[in-house]
Amino acid sequence: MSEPLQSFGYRDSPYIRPGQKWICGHTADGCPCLTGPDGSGRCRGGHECEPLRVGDRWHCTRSQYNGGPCSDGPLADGTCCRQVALCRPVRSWRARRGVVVSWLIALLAGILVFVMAGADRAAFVSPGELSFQHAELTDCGGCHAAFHEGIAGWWRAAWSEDSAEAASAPCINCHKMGSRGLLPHSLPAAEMAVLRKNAAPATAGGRTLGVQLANLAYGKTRANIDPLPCMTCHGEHQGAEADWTRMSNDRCTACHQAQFHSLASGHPDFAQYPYERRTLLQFDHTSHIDKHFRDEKMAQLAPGDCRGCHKTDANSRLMRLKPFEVTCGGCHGDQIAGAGRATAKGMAVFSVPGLDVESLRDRGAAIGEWPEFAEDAVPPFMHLLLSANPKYRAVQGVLAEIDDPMDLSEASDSQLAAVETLAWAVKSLFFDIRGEGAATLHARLQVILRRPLTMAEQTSLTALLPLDSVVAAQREWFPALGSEMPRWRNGESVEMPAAEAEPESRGEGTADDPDKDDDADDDEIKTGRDDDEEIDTGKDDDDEDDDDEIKTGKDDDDDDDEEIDTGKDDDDDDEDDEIKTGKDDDDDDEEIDTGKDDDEDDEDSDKVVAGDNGNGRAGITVMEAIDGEEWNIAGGWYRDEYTLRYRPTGHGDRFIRSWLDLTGRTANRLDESAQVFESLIEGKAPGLCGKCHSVDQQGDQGLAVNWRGYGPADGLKKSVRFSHASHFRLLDEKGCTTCHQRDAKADFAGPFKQRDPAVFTPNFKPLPRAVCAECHTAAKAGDNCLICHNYHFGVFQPVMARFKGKSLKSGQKP
Amino acid sequence: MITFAKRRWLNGFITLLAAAALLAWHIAHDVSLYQPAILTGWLLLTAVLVLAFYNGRKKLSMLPLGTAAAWLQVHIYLGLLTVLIFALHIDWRIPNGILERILAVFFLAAAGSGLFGIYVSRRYARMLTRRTEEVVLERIPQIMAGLRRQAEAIVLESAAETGSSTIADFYGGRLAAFFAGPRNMLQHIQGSRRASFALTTEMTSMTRYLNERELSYAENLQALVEQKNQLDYAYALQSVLKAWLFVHIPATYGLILLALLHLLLVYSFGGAL
Repeated sequence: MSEPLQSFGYRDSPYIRPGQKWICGHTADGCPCLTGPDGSGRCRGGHECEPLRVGDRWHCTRSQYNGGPCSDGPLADGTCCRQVALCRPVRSWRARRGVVVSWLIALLAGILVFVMAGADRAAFVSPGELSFQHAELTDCGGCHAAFHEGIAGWWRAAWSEDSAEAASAPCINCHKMGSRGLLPHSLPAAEMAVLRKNAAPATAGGRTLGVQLANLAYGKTRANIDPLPCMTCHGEHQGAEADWTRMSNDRCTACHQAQFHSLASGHPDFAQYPYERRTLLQFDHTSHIDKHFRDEKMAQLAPGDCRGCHKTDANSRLMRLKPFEVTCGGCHGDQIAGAGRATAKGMAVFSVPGLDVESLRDRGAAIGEWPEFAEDAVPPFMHLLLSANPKYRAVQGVLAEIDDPMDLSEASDSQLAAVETLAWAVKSLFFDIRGEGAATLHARLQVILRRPLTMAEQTSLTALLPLDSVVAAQREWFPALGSEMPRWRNGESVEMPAAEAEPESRGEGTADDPDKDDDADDDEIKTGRDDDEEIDTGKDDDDEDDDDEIKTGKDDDDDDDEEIDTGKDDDDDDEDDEIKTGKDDDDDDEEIDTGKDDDEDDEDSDKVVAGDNGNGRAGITVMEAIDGEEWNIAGGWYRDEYTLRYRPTGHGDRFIRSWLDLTGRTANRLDESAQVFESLIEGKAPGLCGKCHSVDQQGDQGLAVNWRGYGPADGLKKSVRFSHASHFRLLDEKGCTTCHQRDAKADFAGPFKQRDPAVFTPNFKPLPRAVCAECHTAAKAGDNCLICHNYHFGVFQPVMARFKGKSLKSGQKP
Repeated sequence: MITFAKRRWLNGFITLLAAAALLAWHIAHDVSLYQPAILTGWLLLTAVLVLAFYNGRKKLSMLPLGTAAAWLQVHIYLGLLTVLIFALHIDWRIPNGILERILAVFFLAAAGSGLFGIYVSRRYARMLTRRTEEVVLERIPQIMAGLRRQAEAIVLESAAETGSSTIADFYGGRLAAFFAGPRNMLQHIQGSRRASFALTTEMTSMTRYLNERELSYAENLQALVEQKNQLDYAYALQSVLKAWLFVHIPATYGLILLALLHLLLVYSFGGAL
């Protein structure tokens, strides 16, 4: 048994104070002094004891541990006789640890100051590498406004009031999320409230642990409509390959009314998905597949399967419609242009309203000359254009009281006055068109719409209305227009010509007798030359200016205009004679153009005379002539008795489309627009637009015709996303009907009779959730919410880099 | 009086409960679209400050802040919980930023040294009890010096009494350095006795050349060598028991300093709402 290593007791062991910073340097030699170093680590040297004076004697006080009182005792002056050699004190364990801590903190602080003041500050404080999408952002201050304001600025920023909007501002500077970008799902509060109210219930009970914990800890706190900062879901500085859109199902579920476990278990059924509204095009799959495609005549044109009409879009996500020519055009293409149509193939645009000319004449109505055989009503187009005339608008009520304008024998004075107003409004319209061309139509539309027309509207709304048709119509319907209008506008009373004096009074052919050829302009129509071009275009290339005369009624030269006004002809040209006398001594040009043969010398009204029979001998050959309607088989303007009609050019006719768009937008505030719109969209109207293209009531925005099948706007993100192409390889022999099961009993067409797109009956049954859930489980194709759903709803444009405004110097290339 | 084992089970159970509650809170926070990193960040900073205050508590012994033993228990188990908070805070991934990585290194140094400390506190205490008597670390140099003096006295006496320099030569060539201070630290920490066995073997070999009187001195010297070995062992292990704090405490203060900078950056640059 060895001796114990240390003895305990005041005589055997010193009192250890580990908390002291310094210990005597002699400790390692086994003989530390009793005094020990001072607090600063300096050896205090001295003696082995401090003698104690008792009476007049000094006594040694050396401790028992150090051997007890020495034999020599203190010196006479009370000083210990045993001096202790000076030592180099050493630090205690604790003191050494304290030094290490102090040095390390000092070193660390120094390094921090050095680094933070240096050029590598950004790299040092950066919480990580940016994603590759943001790799070009090298200035921290670009997103973190306070970065360049130094530590003081950082401190202020740390204490500044913060909000979701302010925190997200750096993101939104580039990512234009709109005014609601930070709201849940980027939806307005009202819409979100409706969604919450109408939320479909979960189809099975059970929530994940995370959702239960969230409900327990916070309730459905996110059910309120607080903005969410971007970094709630999108954490930057997570590395170049970080997934910005990673989101757990629990985080989605926590806010939702219907909380469930997974797509397979508890996800609400799809209800009417993907049918969110009435289809844009009224195509009844059931009637086509079950009826029309089985018709022997149509069978050859019918598509073999869905791919006949549908194809994937550029992103292989949506199934889009193939072009009209490929899909509907085979059967319906010619119908649009009017093929097989029993009634007029063109729509009435301008027309001479039929009036009881005899009664008007008898009662002394001052409407000038009026075609006796006109019998049409004012077409909606013309009614709209006439409505720019305040007088015309003022008498609408009175005109409406007239049961039959063709019988005015019992009309009141006020009704007669209204008819006079109507007549002069119509004449004014024709006069203005004749004198100013399409510009007057544009001007009138601008008055009605109370806004300027765009260049595209100016072009499309008048459909390049040809001058020749207008000229021919005016000369036939209102041959004395040039003389009457100036007089009327000068306040003169323009009486109706007497019935028996009609031929003479007209002086310019038989305007109200379409069976007569009165027009010298036939050649012009044929040749493209117009001797009266000055009147139409305002240009005068001769010295004898007639234009102003038409407009003003003044004639200050001696040219032929006067002949029009007065019926006199003072020169020898033939054509004028014809106008004046109503005789046509040349060939029946107009018959070729209009299809009408008014001349008495033609025995067959459907035949015209050509000069050569083709045998080299002059002879008479009779050939078939077609009317304007048939002439314009590919669409265009033509005159039909007292009506100027427009025949659609085919699918996508700009004229009809432009008018439908224009009048649809204004239909809710202008009755005249509504009338035009309804006349065009009616199912059997020329063009047949309304047969397939549905009309949506858009509240204050009026009516909108859906010209195209479904196609999302650029950048549109809806709540559900689906890639058709990704699922093609999964289809079996059932093909598309695996998911899209036709509902043969559905009243598809019914809802199209009204204009609320939200009211609809789809051709297909809702998609069965089970079909999706068959594969989309956590173990197979994944069931993360974001596989099928977007979080942000709305239209979001791609991010554009921010450019610093920099004006270029002259001649500098950008 | 609660037993050590029972206290460990109780504290361990409370810590597990706290960990479970923390995990649940973290999940609920995350699922509710809040920022769990902010929650765990503040919890982590608070925990580190509480842990660091344990050192201060020992210096404020005049305040009635509970016993040091209770504080130690809190320190140990809260420290363990802090590791979980840290893991949640960094989302179980290595941080990306330089500062964050340095911060993580400091945390790991503090936490790792703490875990090492608790381990050696338990294991070395048992090892010391098994192999040597309880010796205060600060006294070891003096005891060594005493053993050295005794050894030198034996050698001098042996030479004077026997007239032989065999023992003196061996002491001068082999044992003087051994008695001069702590030796074979690494071997003792590793639990190896190779060095002491080699020395003993050399001494045994030397005894073949000693007469009986010299053998008597040699035996006394051998006893001193044994004691010195025990002292070296105690010194080595107790040094480790002190040394881990040279990592633990500086790392903790460094961690706090860096955490404050981290906090400033987080709140300055929109990382937290």
